[in-house]
Amino acid sequence: MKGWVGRRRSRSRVGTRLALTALILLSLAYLLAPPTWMLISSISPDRELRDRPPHWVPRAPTLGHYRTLFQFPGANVKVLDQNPQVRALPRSFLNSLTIAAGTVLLCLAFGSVAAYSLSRFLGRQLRQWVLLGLLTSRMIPVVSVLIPIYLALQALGLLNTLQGLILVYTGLLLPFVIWILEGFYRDFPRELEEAAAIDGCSPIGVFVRVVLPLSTNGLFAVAAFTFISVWSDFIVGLVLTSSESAWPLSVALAQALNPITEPSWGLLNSAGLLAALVPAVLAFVLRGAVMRGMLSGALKG
Amino acid sequence: MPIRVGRRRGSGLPLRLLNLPALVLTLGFSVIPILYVAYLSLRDLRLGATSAGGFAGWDNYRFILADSSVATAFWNTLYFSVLSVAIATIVGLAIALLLDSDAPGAGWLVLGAVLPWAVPEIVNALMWQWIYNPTYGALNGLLVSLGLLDAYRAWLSTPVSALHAVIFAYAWKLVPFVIIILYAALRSIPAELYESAQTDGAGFWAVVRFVTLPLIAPAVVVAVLFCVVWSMRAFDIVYLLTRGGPGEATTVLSYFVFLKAFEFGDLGAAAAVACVLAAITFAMTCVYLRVLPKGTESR
Amino acid sequence: MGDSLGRTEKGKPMRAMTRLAVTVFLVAVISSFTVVSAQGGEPTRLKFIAWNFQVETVKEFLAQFEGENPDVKVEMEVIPSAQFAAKVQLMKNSNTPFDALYVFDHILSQWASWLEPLDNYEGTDALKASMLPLARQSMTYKGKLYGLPYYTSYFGMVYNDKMMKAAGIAAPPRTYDEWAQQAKTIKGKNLSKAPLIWPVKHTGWGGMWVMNTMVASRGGKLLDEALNTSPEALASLKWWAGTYRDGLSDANGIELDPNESARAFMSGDYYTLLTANFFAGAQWANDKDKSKVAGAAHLAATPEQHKTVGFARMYGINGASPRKEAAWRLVKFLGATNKRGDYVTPKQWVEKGALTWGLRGIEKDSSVAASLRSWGADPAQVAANLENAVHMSEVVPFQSVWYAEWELYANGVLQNVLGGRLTPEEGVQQWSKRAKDLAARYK
Repeated sequence: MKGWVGRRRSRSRVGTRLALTALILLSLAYLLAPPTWMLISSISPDRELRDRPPHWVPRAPTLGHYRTLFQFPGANVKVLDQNPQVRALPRSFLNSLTIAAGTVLLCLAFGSVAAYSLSRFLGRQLRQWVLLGLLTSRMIPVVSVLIPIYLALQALGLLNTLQGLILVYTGLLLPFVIWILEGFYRDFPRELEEAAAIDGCSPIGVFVRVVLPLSTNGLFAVAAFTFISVWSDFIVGLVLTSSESAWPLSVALAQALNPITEPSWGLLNSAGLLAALVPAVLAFVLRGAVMRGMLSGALKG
Repeated sequence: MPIRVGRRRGSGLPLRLLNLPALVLTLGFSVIPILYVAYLSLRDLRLGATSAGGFAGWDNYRFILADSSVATAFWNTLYFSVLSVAIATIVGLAIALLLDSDAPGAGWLVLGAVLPWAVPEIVNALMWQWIYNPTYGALNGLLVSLGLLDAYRAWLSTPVSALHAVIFAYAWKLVPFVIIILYAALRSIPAELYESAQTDGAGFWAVVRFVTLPLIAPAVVVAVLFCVVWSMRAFDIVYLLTRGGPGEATTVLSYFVFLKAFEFGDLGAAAAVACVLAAITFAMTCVYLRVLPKGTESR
Repeated sequence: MGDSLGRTEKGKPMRAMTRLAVTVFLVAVISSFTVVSAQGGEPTRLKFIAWNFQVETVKEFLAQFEGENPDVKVEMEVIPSAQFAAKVQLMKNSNTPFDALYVFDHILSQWASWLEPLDNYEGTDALKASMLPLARQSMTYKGKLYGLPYYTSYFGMVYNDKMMKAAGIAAPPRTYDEWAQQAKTIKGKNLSKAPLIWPVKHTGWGGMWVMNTMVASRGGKLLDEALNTSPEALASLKWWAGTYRDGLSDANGIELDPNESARAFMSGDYYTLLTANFFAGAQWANDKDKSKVAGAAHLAATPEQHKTVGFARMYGINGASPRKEAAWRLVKFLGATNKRGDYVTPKQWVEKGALTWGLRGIEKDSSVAASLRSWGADPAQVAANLENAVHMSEVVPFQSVWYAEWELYANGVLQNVLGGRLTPEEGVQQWSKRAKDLAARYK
């Protein structure tokens, strides 16, 4: 084996491998056990979950909770009646999709242009200051700026609307998007742009026709990050919405956690699983880009 | 050097105009609000008030500096931050090392490593709330069936237990970030260094202590700083698991600002605390910039 | 004679008159139809905001109301009760239109600025006269009435009759000492590990409300006008902390909210639960399907003076509504009587939710009395307790704008005292100091 483990004589190598594998299993347990339990709970009938200890492997696994969640035939109507916020979950799922997609679109459209301009058309000094400003605004806690944002949306009549949320998320995430894409564009080879410019292309033409098609890598990474950030957000949605028509999934799920009657834990876990599935799948599919994004976000300063 | 482009076809103006939306949105939602919050902290304004509220000078700051609840929130946040980052760093480092060891099974760790990051905080909270449940929870069930506990406990019902339960749940989600940063750093250590150390007869721990750790130290510092800044802003997990309770045991500064502003309507005091919180994170960011590896000077 | 249609020369003026008369008549008839249909064609649409308790029952009420008032249609929006106050506030801030809504008594002081005062509406005076003191106090702010009662509730002792008899105890306790003694007996006989359970979660109503009840039952206030705590407050806190110290109260249950503590009681593990009276009803402790103590859960009065504290929920009207007249009809139907003078909804709430009422005389109805008896409540005792119940504002500065913030803090202090981390003396001192600080800030 390589790295810090190094080469070992055959006897202790086996011991080492065993020890390391044991530790790896322990780590896997730490990382994967909680979501796995959520998965198991989502397909367990509630009475099995109420046993003490609960059945680690369900004896009668069921998809009933998922049926209830989507109000398919076979749904548990009693649970739905007692928990109107569960009825709101499918709608809030769509809300979150809309909000996230809208934000990604706007962030990519506005952010790519801004990042490109920043990397090409600004002097070094000014650019440093702008980047510093962007980094700083990333660090400000959202709750600190929520009060003015709330008041602003109230004045504009955009409270409890999807458009309002898209606008707010775009504004909050643009600094991050521009910062990442700036780093990406800075490393972009300029020869192609210069060639196009020599051919008489205007700057905007250079951007649209040469740079943009080749930035898909960076754009995908940024899109994934932005989508996951918006999907996972809670506090902005909590403060700026008040009803089913605009609830994002995170807010609707939080409300489903406090029903008057005994909650159906199987149902809640199934909702949680679905809520986690979207960003998990996205992160998996774009894992290379995601990891690169995390690294550039921290190490490149 | 900025390129000079298109001297014949336009001066780059349309492109610059396209920057306008980004400029407006960034200024409007990230810059102006900060200034407005600072302004609000000097006023006496209530949420839903019909009148504009008057100038309050430093009253709000005087109030929050003397208020015991603010002090409690501050110490809670500090403890929360330090402990969750410590857990995430230690566990993250260990797992990154395991990933780097290429031992059998290490490949699976990559999948596991990214998963907690992708899980939304609300789902994280739901997951842990279910695990910590006092009547049916998995933690209780596991500990009792292993004989480590005689009766089911309510983990979120006593101050000390609740704070640590929340910290543990939060740290779980921080770990992937640490893993990825440290793993990248580990990967960049040249193999020759290890080989030369081992030919000198160095054992496991010596190699790790004297070769690995010093070389990844900058990455560790970066990871720690980011985690500290994030953990100081933690809100979701507190709201969803304990609503800041029992009492004020898990009330952190972000949650306190939310309560003050949106449940009790005292915008002036809330804005003052929000400014203090922003100032603290800003200070930490400056520290981060100082500490950053030299490679950034090319920017 | 005449032409083919029988018209004659002589009859022409006559026929013209007739034609005119017929035309006028027809026009009058048609136009009266038009007027009528113009009035009845477009019904007034009311938006009514409720929280998520027994939504189907409320829909039935609304259907009955619409039956009586065909020119009004009611659209209901349901918000989970935990988010209700915050969301309605948000709706008000964003000028979302709504006409009538549920109102918690504890939010009245904050919402009074935009709720419609009802004193000058038709029928209010008569209703005020028939209101229980508890109801009137809870729905009045600065001298004006802002709602009609949805339900009132007082804090009473729900006790497990089966466990009591198994321990050889004859009747529920009449004094606090007796209460602790009975709990010791039950614990000693291994009938329960910690016989007393309470709703003490730090958010929402619970801990401090139980505290207020105990103080009221001893005849005192929690905080006086100068915001100092009373001797009765200290005595109650000492007693209560003592039950935790002696293992009589379940320390594990200290973050249970009212619903969770009721469910815990329903598992049959506890002797008493001091909580809102409706938890003894057929939907909770006496629910045959869900409760292990169904049939054995009875409602008793609080010890000592049997004076207790209560709260209320009301139906209110949005002051910004352009349809106040129709909204008043809805509120009157829901909170008082239908057109025939029957207490429709209050009676049904007793049966469907064990929710007690705000207007006198409802207990005299035979179906109400039968319903109460069916789950172990004595109608006369309930009526007496309701008459005796005082609103929170008599015990604490409940309607102060800073009360909600104080209560959250006070709940935390209470939990610390009950958990043994603070002494009762320190606890009452912290309550008083915080109240004074907040009052000074919000002056």
